[in-house]
Amino acid sequence: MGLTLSALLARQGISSLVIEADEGYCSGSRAICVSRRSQEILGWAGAAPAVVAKGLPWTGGRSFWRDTEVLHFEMPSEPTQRFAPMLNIQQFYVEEFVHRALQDAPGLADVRWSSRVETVEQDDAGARVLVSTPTGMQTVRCDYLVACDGGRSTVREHLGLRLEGTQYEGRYVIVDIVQATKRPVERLAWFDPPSNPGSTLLMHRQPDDVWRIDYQIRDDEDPSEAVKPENVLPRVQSHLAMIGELEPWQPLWISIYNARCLTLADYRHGRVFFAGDAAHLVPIFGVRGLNSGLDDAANLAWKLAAVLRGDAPDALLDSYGVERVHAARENIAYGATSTEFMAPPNFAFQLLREATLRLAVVDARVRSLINPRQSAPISYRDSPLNVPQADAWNSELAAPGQPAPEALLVAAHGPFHLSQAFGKDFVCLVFSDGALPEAIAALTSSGVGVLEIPPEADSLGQARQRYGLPSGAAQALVLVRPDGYVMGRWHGHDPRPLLEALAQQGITP
Amino acid sequence: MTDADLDLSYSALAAALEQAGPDGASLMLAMVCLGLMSRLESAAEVLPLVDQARRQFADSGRSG
Repeated sequence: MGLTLSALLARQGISSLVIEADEGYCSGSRAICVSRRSQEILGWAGAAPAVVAKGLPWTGGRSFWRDTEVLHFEMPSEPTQRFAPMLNIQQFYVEEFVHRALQDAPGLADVRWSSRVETVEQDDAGARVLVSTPTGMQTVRCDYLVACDGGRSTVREHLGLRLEGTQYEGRYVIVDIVQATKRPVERLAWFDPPSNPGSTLLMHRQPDDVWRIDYQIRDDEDPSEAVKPENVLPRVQSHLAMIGELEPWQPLWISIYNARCLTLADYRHGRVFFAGDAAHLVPIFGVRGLNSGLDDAANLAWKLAAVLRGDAPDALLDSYGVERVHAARENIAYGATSTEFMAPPNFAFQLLREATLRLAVVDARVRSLINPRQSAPISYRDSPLNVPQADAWNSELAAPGQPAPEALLVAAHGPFHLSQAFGKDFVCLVFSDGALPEAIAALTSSGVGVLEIPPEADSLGQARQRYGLPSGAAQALVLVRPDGYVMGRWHGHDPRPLLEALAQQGITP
Repeated sequence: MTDADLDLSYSALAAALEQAGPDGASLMLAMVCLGLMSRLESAAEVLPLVDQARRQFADSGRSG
């Protein structure tokens, strides 16, 4: 996460130093599901080609109760998409590919391995960090410090801040094993499987013939006993035999997990920001951990860059906390609902789950309750940066505060996806049916990127439909933030309200 | 009924059941169920649902 933030800052021409306590990329595969939005962000960080080449894309999943299929879900997916809705890849590969992309920005990004933050002090001008390195103590002065130091954040502890929220009792063992398989890539879940009666079990494929297997242990099991190979391997073997995966296998990594729904009340404390697990902890069900961390990085990078360049007032940075704390609370709400199904916290949720699974065999209407509610980008509908829309539109997908919808377009140099144009500058999408008025071309000189979308470039009609235009010939302007979120949209071609909106925030891109 | 509304109703029912406790849960469920039944158009909508639940219950047994 810190590496991705560093790469996004480098793209903005801002230099940063990454202090990493480990001596290299993470061990164990950890977070493995990378959402479509995260693939876009990794694209801006320069790592998407490598991530996509290595990862296993998937679009849906199946859930079973005992040995009966009770849910088959599919996420929105189409042949014209840039990225699959979800992609499985070990976290250490993502770290490696982002780190490699950082080498393309020499002088802007510096990574110090085996270095640990000892103390943090800050004043009005910046932060001072004492770092223990293999060669001794060093003091680092910086304008801003972003704590991406995980669930047990040292920086959070130093500032005396506490995460608030709920911790669930139900525990899951996480096991990675190596085993050759020809099974399709999809999310698989079993409730009360014959292989492990009473338990709940999840399976995901990863590259290199690795399976991720998660299963719930009984409340009366000792967690330290539950992760011992002699207790883990028979359960895994029993399940592999049940589903007919008979190739030889061996364990790679075993860990244990219980669902937590925790967040800091704010992610900005003077010159110090919190991001990722240091700021919030969400349950694994729905894969919102790594994915929300990458969204934190995308949100913060352009704001830090704008303020450091003197293109925006310091107050812009306050919107990071407003937007991302809101996102964490939404992610926590989804995660809590999923956890209440996947690890029922009391007899009432247990009873309703039993009823749902039995009914789902014959009644499709209740099956959505079993759906894992996979990670999706969160709308910043109440963000202070949004420009309220005055007019009627045919779609709310591109309302202010929404992630800017994707669309496949045709340009002179060939087809391209709209999301490729985001990730660095403000971009004004110009829906037109003819020559550009001069005033709009002048936006470029004020630092806003202009992307004209005449009807022939939008031959599939995706952009016009998703951005809510009433007709192919309709004129409109849509202002998209550097992190790919819609800031405002206006009918017609008058750029003045757009420039006024930026000026109102004190932003001079 | 949207998926989000079904989620919301599910969680609200679980909270009510938890408050009623294991001994009171059956009575609470019967009350909610009667309230829902009485809002449907006719018995023709209710009876197949009762029958469906009865059959699934018989097939799968009670405990999980």
